[in-house]
Parts: sequence; C-alpha cells; structure tokens
Amino acid sequence: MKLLRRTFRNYILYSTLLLLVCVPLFYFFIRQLFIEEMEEDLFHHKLNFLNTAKYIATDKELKAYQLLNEEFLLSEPEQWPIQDSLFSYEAYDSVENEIVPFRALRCGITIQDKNYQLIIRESIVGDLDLVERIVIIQIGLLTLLLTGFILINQNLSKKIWSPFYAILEKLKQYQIDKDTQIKLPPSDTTEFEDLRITVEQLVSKNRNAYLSQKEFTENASHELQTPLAIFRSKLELLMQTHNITREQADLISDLSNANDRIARLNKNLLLLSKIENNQFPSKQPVLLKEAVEKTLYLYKEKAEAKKIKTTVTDESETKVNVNPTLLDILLSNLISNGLKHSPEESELKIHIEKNTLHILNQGEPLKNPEKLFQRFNRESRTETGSGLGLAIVKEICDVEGFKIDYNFNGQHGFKVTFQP
Amino acid sequence: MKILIIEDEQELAKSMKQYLRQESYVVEVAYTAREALEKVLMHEYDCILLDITLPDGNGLSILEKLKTENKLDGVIIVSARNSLDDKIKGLNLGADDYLAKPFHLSEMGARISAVIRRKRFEGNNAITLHELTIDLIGKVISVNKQLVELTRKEYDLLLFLVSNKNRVVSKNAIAEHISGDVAEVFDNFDFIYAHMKNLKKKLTESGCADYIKTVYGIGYKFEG
Repeated sequence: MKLLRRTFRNYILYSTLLLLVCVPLFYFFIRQLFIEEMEEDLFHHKLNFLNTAKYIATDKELKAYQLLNEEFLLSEPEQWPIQDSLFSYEAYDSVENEIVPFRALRCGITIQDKNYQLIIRESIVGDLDLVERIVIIQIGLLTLLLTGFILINQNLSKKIWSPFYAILEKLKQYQIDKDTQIKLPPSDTTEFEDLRITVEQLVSKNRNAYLSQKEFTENASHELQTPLAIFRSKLELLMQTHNITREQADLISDLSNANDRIARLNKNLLLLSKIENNQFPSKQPVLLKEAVEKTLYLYKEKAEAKKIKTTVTDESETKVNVNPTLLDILLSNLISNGLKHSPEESELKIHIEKNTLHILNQGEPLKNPEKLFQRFNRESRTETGSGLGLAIVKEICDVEGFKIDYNFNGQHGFKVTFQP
Repeated sequence: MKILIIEDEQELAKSMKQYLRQESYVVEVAYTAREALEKVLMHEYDCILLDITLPDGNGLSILEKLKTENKLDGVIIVSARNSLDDKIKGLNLGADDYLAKPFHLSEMGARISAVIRRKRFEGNNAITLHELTIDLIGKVISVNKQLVELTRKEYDLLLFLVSNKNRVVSKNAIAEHISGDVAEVFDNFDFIYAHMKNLKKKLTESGCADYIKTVYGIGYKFEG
C-alpha cells in the first residue's frame, strides 16, 4: 500500500468514526436539552395558570379560559391528591393537522374550592424539527471540513513527499554497472536533503566497491594469465628444439596437458567471479530451442565420437529473457556434462516444455547428488574437467533467477525452470 | 617483414620474439608504453602485437594514438583480462584481432600471418607451397591445380599448420584452435588424430607430397 493512501485511510477511518459516533450523540444531547427546557416551561405555565386562576370566579369564565388556552386541559380528578408528573404522548394537533408527539405535565389544582386535574401540554414537533435541522447542518459542516482537510492534506502530502518519490525513481533506474554516478534532486525539507546526501554517498561507495571488485578480478586474472602464458610459450619453444627423445616428448606432452588444465581452471574461476559480480547484466529474449540446437552443433563431433544420439523436442516455443552469453555457457556446461558422463552408444535427450528445460542422459547414479553443484566436487578424480562446470550453471541460475534441479530416475535428469 | 611486440612481461616477449624469428620475421620489442610510442612513430610495422595492460599507461591509449597517426593497420590486441569490454573497445578502435592470454604461440603465429596476408594482399590472396595452393578467399585448396575436397575442420587444420610452417604445433594448440572452448570436453586427442589422418590421406591421394610430419608425443609439423 502506498504511503499516502495509508495515511489517508487512517484519516478517513477516524473521520467516519467521529461522524458516526458524534452525530447521534449530538442529536440526543441537543434533544435532551430541548426537552428539559420545555419541562421547565411546563412548570412555568402551571404557575401562570395558578396566578390567572385566582381571577376566575365562575364556571363560565373557566370554560372561556380553557377554550382560549388549548394547552390547558382541566378534568375531574380520578384520585386526589395528584402528584406533579411529566409524561409524553401522541395526539392530534389541529395546527399541524396530524398526529404529533406532546410533552405534558399532570398536576392537581384547586379552583374555588373545587379539585381539578390539570394537564399542561406542549407539542415537541417544532423543537424536534429544529434539532434535526441543526444536526443536518452539523453533518454538512463536518463533511465539508473533512473533505477539505483530506484534499488539502493530499495535495500537501504529494508536494511534501515529491522529493522522496523523485529519489526513489532515480534509485530504481540506477544501474551500478552502467551509470557512473547518481544525481538526485535537492529538497528544502531537511529530512529529504539528508536522505539525498546519504543515498548519494551510499551509491558512490557501492560504486567504488563494485569497481575495485571488478578491478581485483581483472588483476587476479592478469597476474595468473601472464605466468601461465609464459609457461605455455616456453613449453612451445621447448617443443621446437631438436633431438627430443621419446621420454622427453612424453614429459612435454604431460606438462602441456597440465598447463591446459590450469589455464581452463583459471578461466572458469574468473568466469564464476564475473557472474557473481553481475558482469553480464544485459538481457534479451532468446528462443530456447535455437540456443539449444546451436550449442548441440558445437558438441556434434564429441557426441559422434562417443556414438551418442542427441534429440531435441520442443512443445512450447519457449522464449527466455536472459543474457545470451550466460545462456550459452549454461547450455554448454549442461550438455558437455551430459556427454561427458554418458556411456558410449547412449542417448542424450533434451526436452523443452513451457519455461522448463530437461536434459536427460544415461549413467550410473551419483554417490553424493546433494554435492553436485558444489565447486570442485567431483565423483571421480580421473576426470579432466575443472570441477566448476555445474557450479557455474548454478551461479548462472542464481543471478538470472532460474531454478535448477537434479534427480536420478533411471537416468540423470537436470531440469531448469525459467522465469515465466 | 617487421613485427613489433609491445609487452611488459620480458619473458613472454622473449618467447614471442624467439618463436617469430624462426619464420624470417624481423621482430622488435617494446616493454613500456613510452618506448612503444617512440617506435611506432618512427618506424613502419607490418604487424603490432599490443598488450593493453602496460605498467606505464593503458595500451588502449597507444591504440588511440595509432589511430590518430593512421597506423592502425595490423594491430593485434593481447590481453590477460579476457574481458569483453576491452575486446569490444579495442576492436571498435580499429584493432584487427584480439588474442587472450594465455595463448599458444602457434595460435599467435596463425593470427599474425593472417593479418599480414590481409594487409599485404588486401585479402585477395592464396598461399602456394610447391604443388599445394590454399585459396584463402574461397577457403578451398588445390594440388597441382586440382581441387581437393576438404571438410571445414580439415581446411582449418591445414591452414593452421601452414601458418606455422617448419615449427612444431602441439596437439593442445590444434585442439583449441579447431574446437575452441569445446576442446575441454574431449578426454583425449583422438578427434585430432582422426581429422589429421583424413587430411593427410586426401593430400597424398591427390598427389601432394607428405609435408605434414608427426612429432612423437607432441604434435605435428608442416615441413615445406
């Protein structure tokens, strides 16, 4: 969830809660105030009535008074004395022309020595209307306030956070192997300015570390390749000398083979560290079947020498987004591994499914299959390989985000799962 | 024919010089970038082998200097870095070829002879040794003007030996030359023996003298 949305969500949640809780509370509170006020009025009316009643002398006058003041209802008491009591009820109102709620005071009074029950009533419909209107206005005001608050906040946040998003965008686009430095927009906000400076320093430090690592690889390469080249060249000059005995020739040949192995080992070590250092970053879509066939062609002679039949089946036309050099090395190492460990006159099967590649070849089960992808892990010491081929395969899968599995099910099976 | 080796490793430079001298080349050596610059500005060379990792300056800057002087022709970059960056940079600047350390001297010999032939005859050339003619454009050979059908590998093999003629070429160098990285899959050199046997058979059957000599345990030699 985006930062801004998260903030807004909290604001809105709080505002809605406030609105839902406060509006009814406010409504009941105001209503209660009105009713209390009205009850005070009712008692006031009673006093007024008692004051006026002194001047009523006859039944006729009482009748006239009653007709003039509809809110006063005089009747025969059902019991005596009558306690003052307040109650609510609904009745027809001639002014509103409908049934409306009333609040009433029941009390007992004595006029000219005669006991009466007096009910003083007041319609509360007008007051309730007022309360409702007040509440509606309140809701309106609150809503406006909240909307305004959210809008202002949103704009402000966007503006305030814009340097942060700018930094983030630049960081996303930054590629340590391609861009020399990162240029971030300055900001007036102290925190973002701090962030910018820190990020720039971090990037430049990383860049330096990356460069020195790359340099170290190159230096290590240079340091080893040169003596190797000297050794090889001296051997070749030795081969040019005359009168070499058979014994000497065999020694020279063994030296030459050992030198080849060292050279190959060094080359593979360098390759491994280069892959680890992500020095093959550029990617492009490659049709897997084509790449497999191209690699198989390179090993055609080797396969023919061991009379190994190679087959490629593809049902999916899978395209892989990958660094082409790395894919070539991956396929090369897997295929050469398969050919190397296949018995003569066997079959090497390559099967491509949707985003997966299977390489199957015959052979004896491994003693330590869990160590298969480890560096310099070899089942037998007689092999001439560098012991790095499958470690390189694993490393390529790691940097490219592929998955490699091995299982033995009557034959060796490698399965590479590419990213969908 | 004059060749300049720009290489700071004295022992390697010595080996290269010694190997090339056997092929009637005049070889000069520069151990530093400064020395190299003096030499290339004063003399003309048919081929320059340039190590781009020199102690007193990047070899690529020499390449740039050569380019401004219009003397780029025939430069082979030698590098221990084996890094793609250098290769691309070097070839973009106009170098003719790229050789990664550790290389076989016979591989170097083949590259130099290719560069010189290209430069001298502007690519329009053939190598003639007695009755044998190698057409470098058509990539075909003929013996006594009669075409001999060779496979691509046999042709490569013959050209490789001829480019290093009168010198012993090891089977290791041959394996790497004709199979590249794939060479390591072969547990032995049987595949070379097979190609060589076929090549020799085709040559002798077409009436060519047996110039390719087997050097016991080590490799082969074209004696012409």
